[in-house]
Amino acid sequence: MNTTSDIAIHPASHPASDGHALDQVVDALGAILIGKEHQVRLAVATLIAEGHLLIEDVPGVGKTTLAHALGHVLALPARRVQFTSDLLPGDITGLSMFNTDTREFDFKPGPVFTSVLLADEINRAPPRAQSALLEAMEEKQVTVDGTTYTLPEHFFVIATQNPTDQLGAYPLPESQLDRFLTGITLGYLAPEEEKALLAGGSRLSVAQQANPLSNPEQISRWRAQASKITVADRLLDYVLALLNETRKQGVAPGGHGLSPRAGLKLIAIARAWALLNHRTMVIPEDIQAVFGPVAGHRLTGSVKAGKTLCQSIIERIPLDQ
Amino acid sequence: MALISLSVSPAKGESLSVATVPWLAALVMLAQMPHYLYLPWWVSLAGATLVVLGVARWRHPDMRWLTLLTNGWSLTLAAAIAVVLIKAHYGYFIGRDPCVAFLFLLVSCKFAESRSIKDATLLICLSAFLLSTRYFYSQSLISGIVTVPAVLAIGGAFYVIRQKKPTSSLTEPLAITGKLLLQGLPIAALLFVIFPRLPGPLWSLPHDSAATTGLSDSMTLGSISELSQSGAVAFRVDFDTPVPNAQSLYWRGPVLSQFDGRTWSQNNLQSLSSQQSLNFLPKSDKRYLLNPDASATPPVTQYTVTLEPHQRHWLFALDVPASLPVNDAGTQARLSHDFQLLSATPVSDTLRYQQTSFLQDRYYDTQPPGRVDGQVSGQVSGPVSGKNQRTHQFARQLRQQYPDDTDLANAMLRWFAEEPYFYTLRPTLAGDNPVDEFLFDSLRGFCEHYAAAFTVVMRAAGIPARIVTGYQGGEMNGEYMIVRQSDAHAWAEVWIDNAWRRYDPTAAVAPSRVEAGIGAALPSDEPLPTLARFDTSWLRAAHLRWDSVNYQWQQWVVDFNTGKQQNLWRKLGFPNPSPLHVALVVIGAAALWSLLLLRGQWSWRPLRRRPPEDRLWERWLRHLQLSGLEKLSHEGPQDLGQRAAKAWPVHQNSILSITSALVTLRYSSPIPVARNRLVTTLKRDLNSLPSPKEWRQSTNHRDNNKATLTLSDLNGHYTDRV
Repeated sequence: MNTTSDIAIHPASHPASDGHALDQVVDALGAILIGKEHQVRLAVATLIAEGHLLIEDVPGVGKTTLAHALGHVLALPARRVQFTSDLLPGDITGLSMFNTDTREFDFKPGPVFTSVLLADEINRAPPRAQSALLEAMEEKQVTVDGTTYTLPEHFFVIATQNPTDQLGAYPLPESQLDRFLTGITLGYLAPEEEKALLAGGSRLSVAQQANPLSNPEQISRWRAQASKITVADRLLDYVLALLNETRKQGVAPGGHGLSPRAGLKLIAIARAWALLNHRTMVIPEDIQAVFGPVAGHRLTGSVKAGKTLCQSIIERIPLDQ
Repeated sequence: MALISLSVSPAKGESLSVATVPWLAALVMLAQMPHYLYLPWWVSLAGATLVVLGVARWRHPDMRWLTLLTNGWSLTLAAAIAVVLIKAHYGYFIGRDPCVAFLFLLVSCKFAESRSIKDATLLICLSAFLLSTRYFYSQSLISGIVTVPAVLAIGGAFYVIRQKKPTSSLTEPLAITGKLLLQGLPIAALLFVIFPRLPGPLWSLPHDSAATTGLSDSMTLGSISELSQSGAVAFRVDFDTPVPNAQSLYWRGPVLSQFDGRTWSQNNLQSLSSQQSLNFLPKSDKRYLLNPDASATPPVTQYTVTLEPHQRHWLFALDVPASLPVNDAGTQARLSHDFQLLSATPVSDTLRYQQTSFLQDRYYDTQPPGRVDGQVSGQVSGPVSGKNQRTHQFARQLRQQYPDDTDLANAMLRWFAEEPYFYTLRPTLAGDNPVDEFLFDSLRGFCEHYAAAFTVVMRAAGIPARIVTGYQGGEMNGEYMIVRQSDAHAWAEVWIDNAWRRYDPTAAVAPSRVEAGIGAALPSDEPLPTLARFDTSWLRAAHLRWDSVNYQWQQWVVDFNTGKQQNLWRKLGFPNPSPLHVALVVIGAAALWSLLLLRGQWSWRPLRRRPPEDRLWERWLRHLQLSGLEKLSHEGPQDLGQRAAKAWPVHQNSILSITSALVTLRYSSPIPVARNRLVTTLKRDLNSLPSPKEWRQSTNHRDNNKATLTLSDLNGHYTDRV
């Protein structure tokens, strides 16, 4: 059976000015997930860019903690779904049940009706259950028994995936991986950081005690700000060169390069990344910083393998010569 | 010269590809085309046949007889036969026409035997030479235009034979040739203008007896009426002074004093060039021009004549010529005793000269006619015995009636006017006594009939008289006047009261001939060239416009000679440029032009269009590079800035400022004001940087962790700026 748990909703107490609030959010998350500042920033950028996050790693490195911390700090309702091999689509979307009192069918919303949804170990579930979630991610709505239910505005899925070489996993096909804007790994910590972690006790409880530093309205404002960030023409040429490089014969192991949609998403998250860095323009370093997380899992099917590939692609494409 | 190469066979060197054959054939045809009309028909035909044979051999390489016909030996034989035939046709071989005909055939032979690239190169050169021989005949604008396709073909053929891979494109070789020609045009124009010119032609061609229309040194009745049917241009005139009225436009040409009863001829036919000339000019010595009793000076007119070649010595000037022609080319000319202007050499090229004339119908002479420096110089008076007896009879009657010479001459004019004489281009054919027949039987004649009859009557009456031929009238075409062969005219000169006086009996018969030109004087059914007629058809207008264009061409291109060149130098402030100066100017201009063309091809546009931020960015990169920091190819500006700040913590602030300005300029779109301010500060920052040498010395080789500049420092900087 599946396990669901509710994370309490806390209204934002004193949202500071937008720019500082963003810094505070990142700092707060960084305090919870020690030594994972880059990943935290990517997660926040993905949220601002209206994408979904795929975390690929072995269990126990802080994937769940990140989801909870995000929910708490951003004051968004968060839920967790543990994917198992017998998970059914209805377990995610919800069910219509017959109410004997009213003699009518009542819709019981599933865990998907939340803002931050942690889909734990998504590749443990069979494809049918996976696709139920992926459709909700794409359309931000769920249809059960012919009725369509809209999901909350800031619907954000953090899916975790065990490395596919583990037993009993159903690897996500590349087309499904395309639904995730970014793919990251958390990885093991540096010795000092791990020591601090061990000294501090349960990170999950730290996350659950975190103060909310933002609210949904502010997230909307960040999104509006990000969309106004300048992307220079010469930068578009650079993005084009990167995209074309992935489409060359023999570059992507799957055989397919990045799609135009991936290119659009690359620019969207680069804008969010620039916003996180308090800039009103995207610079090449932004593109380079987000290129690996955006392209890696799409090109190779695996975040880890994609990282090296993307780095080599970046190094192949000359910039500002 | 080409015979040597003809006998070289089989062809050595790289063989030609079939794709080049159409090009070479077209080239040969185009180079030969301007000659087709002028060469004997059999030469043109033989040339064309050889070209066809050559093409056929390429198309059917397996046909043995074709190969046999076009090998070196058969073609050498063909060339030898051509020499014999050409010699037989022209009667001589060393001369312009036969040599051109021979070259024409040689080019065809060369094409027929061409098998290698070496052959083709030689063929192209020969074609170019053949093409230029067209200018021995005519240097008109049309001749120039006709050669353009052949010139393009030369370039195209060169391109095609040099291609490693055979190209089937027609436009590519032509486009590149056209481009090269256009690029070369300014240099060619410059060379045309400033390259030192030789006074006169480079070499003199053996003279060919070319048949040209024009006045001749003898006249029989009917010869001028024949000439009048030609619409060819005799000469063109630019007047510096106002254009004289039609009655004064008597262009004096050959003076004919000898008469044998049928034919009028010049005074001393055999030794025209040895004829005595005046020792002084009327311009400086007025006694020729003025009645000794009068004091008034006759009107002077100044003009420039552009004379078409007519292969004779005489030059034309308005009656009475007052100066010797002033000619840039240095042609020698003189004025003979009977006031003919004569050039030292026959006029074989278009000649331009300045001339002054007194508009007067008489000139005075201190010496009585018939004697020049004590020698009897031909018969100016007295009848010819046994011929035209009726005329002599008539003259004697007149003499009895009018003892005064002037009265007699006037009476004769009246006779022509009152009797039913008819002015026509188609007089009745003359028999043994042509003057008698004209004067008393047919009463139909052209100007030479009237002039001849008048002169004969005068002579028979004992008054010295002679015939002057030349042109009368002319047609204004815009700024200048055209005088055509159809304006040819003959009139009489009579010695009365110590002066040669002009009498034009034609004017008595048909006054409109003199006043309005020949087109108005002759009935419309007379066979006169269309252009001599006055009507306003578009054809005529177009023809006149074309004549005007040609005239400009002649004036500014063909006649651009030493004198005009020196004038140009003088106007530019270099009266006598040395050859070294000229060479330097040419080389300098050529170098400059080549540089311009090359730059245009490589970096002219990119350099000019580069925005300042790009140039400053490059400057920044160069500075770092010279300081020892090479930008990685994929490295962004901010990463580079951080690396630089780590290497030179001392300069951290300027690095920070430069990097953020560059990034803002290049990756955001600041409003123009902010942009300009940023460019200014950036320039200032870059200018105030210490030299790369100093930077190299201050490089921080210690631990990179010491760098104080962080990502957030940089990012913070943008917020301040933007």
